[in-house]
Amino acid sequence: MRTKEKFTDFVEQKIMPLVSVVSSNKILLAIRDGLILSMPVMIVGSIAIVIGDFPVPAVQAFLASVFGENWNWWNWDVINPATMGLVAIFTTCGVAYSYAKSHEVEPLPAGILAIVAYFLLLVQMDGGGFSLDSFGSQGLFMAIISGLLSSAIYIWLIKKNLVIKMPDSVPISISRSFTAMVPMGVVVVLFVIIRAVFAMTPYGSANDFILNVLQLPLLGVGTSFLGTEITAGFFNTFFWIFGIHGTLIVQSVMQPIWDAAKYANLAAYQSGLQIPYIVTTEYLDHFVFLTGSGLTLPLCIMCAFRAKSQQLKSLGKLALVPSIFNVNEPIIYGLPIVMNPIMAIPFFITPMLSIAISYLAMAWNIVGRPTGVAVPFTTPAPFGGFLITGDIKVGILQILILLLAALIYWPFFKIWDKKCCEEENA
Amino acid sequence: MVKIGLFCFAGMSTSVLLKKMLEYAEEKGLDCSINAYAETKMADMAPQLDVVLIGPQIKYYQKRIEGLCAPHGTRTMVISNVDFGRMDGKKVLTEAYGLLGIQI
Repeated sequence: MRTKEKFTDFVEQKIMPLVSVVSSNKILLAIRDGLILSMPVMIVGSIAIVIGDFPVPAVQAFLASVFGENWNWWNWDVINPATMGLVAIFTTCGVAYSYAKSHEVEPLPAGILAIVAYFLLLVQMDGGGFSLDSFGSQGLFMAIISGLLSSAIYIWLIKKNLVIKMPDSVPISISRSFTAMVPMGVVVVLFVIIRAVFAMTPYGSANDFILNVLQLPLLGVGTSFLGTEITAGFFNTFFWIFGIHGTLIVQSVMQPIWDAAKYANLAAYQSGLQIPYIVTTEYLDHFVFLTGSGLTLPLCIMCAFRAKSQQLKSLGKLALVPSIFNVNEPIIYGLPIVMNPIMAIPFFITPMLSIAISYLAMAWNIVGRPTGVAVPFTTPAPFGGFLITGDIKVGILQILILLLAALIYWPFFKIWDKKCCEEENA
Repeated sequence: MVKIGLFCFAGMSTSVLLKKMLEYAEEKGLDCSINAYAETKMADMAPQLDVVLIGPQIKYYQKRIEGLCAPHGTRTMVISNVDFGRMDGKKVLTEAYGLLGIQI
């Protein structure tokens, strides 16, 4: 018990402040919130893809026979470019908006300013006009960077009071519309200069520079097998053991990478090319955080139906439905898994094993890879796996992995159940 | 009326606790509104609530949340691991009212 207390002290005094600093960082929060802002649009766009490009050929053939060959005309050419195809625009606007909001300045002009800044950096195609590609995954990191930079300038100038002041007799709504003019001018000039500087480099544009120097290398490392085992496998679990929301912390750093991989996959899927990445936001939700971090649904079922301890039995029943929908805090705090050295062992092993199995199955093309379709993290298995990849085998793989998780948890569950029984009878 | 907000990552896990708290509030006939929110809604909701309850999994946000709530006189509290694990709606609601100096 004393070592446990020492350990708790260590967490409270050393780890907690560190986590607090990282997770309360305004830049990281702005990126996270900015990416979240576009989620509803992405999910609606994804529903259109799932229906319009239904993963079962027989269903597609049936729909085509009823509504005609061109029945899904609204999908790839209409809804997709207006929703998922504009993710970089939503992101730059959302990040700038969130960043300005956290500094308590009027956020909407910052969002608009970010879109202006983003377009200033885009290089037109040879015949004029912008390539649709530059609004999607390829522009995601530039969207984040230009959103933050333009918003930071806007915030700084507003706070320095470098704005056009109107006499008091002018109504607030009118004077407010002038407030953003000076920051707007400064941002336009600065971004034109940035554009000109990058035009002189071998990359030709800011977008190509960021894509090749930052985005692609980070994606390569972040979505690699080892990178995934360390971030989503090890660190996510590590924080949860201490009762800290590991997923939220790991996401605050990794989300841009996992999202960029998702949208890159979507672009490849749309063009009928080989899907480049395995590890995307959806992959993690449906293989690593499947039924919640630690894949605890089997453990929850054991508690509900196999436990001799009354406490575990009622916990299992309480946690069963949330667990099916990938929410498992009741198990993590109720069992508890937090600060529990016995349950920590399977809680560590299971997600890392799930990554190993699913990653290899996808790398060797035994099952399909995530197509980039956005599916809410609460979608239960096997539907989640099926929808994110369009491959029914992936849904089956989810079930197999959960069965394996059951085997891993079983002996530890027996130990813990016995211990809880002894405490109840004491 | 007492307005209570429960905050966690997505407002999902605290919604289990929310149900238990609502049951107890009804049993006691309390005039209150209780809702679960995602942590990202914190800045918007802080001025409108009397009590903000923080899920233990995001207790590292406590300082930031206190900073957002204090100017509006909104009270904050981190739900303990044990109460959260047991989804003890009765105890959490009693403590939330306790923050306002009301005994139930």
